[in-house]
Amino acid sequence: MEDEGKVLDRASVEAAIAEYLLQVNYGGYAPDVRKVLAVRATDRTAWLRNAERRTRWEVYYFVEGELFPRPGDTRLPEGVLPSEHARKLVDTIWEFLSVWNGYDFTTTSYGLGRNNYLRNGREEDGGIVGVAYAPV
Amino acid sequence: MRSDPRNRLPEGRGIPIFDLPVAAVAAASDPLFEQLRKEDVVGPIHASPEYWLAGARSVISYFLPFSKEIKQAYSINTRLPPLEWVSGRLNGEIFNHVLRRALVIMLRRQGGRVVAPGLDPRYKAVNWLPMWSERHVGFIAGLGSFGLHGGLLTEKGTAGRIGSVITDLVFPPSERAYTEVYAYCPWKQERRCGVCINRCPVGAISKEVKNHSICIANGAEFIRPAFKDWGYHGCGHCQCNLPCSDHLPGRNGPAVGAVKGRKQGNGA
Repeated sequence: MEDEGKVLDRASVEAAIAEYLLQVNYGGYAPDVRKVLAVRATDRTAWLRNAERRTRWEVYYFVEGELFPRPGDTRLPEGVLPSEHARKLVDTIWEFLSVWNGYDFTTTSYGLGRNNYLRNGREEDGGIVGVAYAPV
Repeated sequence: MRSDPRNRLPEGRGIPIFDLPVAAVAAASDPLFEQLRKEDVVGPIHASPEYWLAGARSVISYFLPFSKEIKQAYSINTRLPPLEWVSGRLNGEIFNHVLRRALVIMLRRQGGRVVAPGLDPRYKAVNWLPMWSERHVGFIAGLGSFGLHGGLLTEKGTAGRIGSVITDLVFPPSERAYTEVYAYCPWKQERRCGVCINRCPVGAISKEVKNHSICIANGAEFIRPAFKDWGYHGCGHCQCNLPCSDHLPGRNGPAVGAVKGRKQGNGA
């Protein structure tokens, strides 16, 4: 299952996170540590499911603790639509999530460049900008 | 690690991929990092910790040993690796990314800035030479020395995957209990063992060195086609069924040469 230049589908990531927000904010905030964002290799679309035995050519990211390490990140603010908050949350993780996903589906040790993932990096001073994760 | 479903193969009964890792720390300022840029080591493509993270202070390196279930699946009498191995290599590397990310998150919570070169968009390899060699970084950190087969010989063996992260947090460097590149390899030290020489089904390992071109050609011509439907590749003959597979050779296990007497067939 080579990469073929596919990139993570952002719309489906936002939709999955919005679904999660709906589920865990109904009747009070109750984050669900079982939930993972699943992404399949074929078209790089994402959806929400419980963590369980893996399926070939799918990868998983825990919503709580992994995508959003800070407790309370997925609490829906009063008067904000889930889709709106999901978009904001995905904004905060997109830069590294798209890179993580690119590597998860890269079957060689050549890096992302071989599979056109460099477009996920910003060209700056002739080079690709890295991802230095700052303290939370 | 034990409960994470990502640390299991998707096929069959879902055997675990890795056992618990062993880790070590190198100072980002260790002069050996500069040595990696030499042509006869990794090459000028190799980047320093400072390149990856301005203000880098520590490099944390770890070795993830393949589970006994993965290693036991590797028959000594076949030319091809088992499905468990090739799946474990690819799906195990995905779990290696999980561990890299977990370290990133943990160190960020401690107030550090962190980079995982293996998950960085700047990373690349050219002609098999990497910008960041996890094996060499493991050597510098004190995880272990190299073997004749090119793998890292650690206290948990050589069959596994390696990862690392760089941070501006300060951790005391681990002791590097060796000075020589091949310190733990009995063949390189005393011409004892050498089991991996005959173990390689395509003769990629000579008495002096491993010929990576032969190894790569074997992967392209035989292993990839054999596992085409599965989508996997990779060979592990020089990591399994050896005196150094599960531990340092001659330590905490069978004596060096204990596997040597077994007959190796060539059936595919």
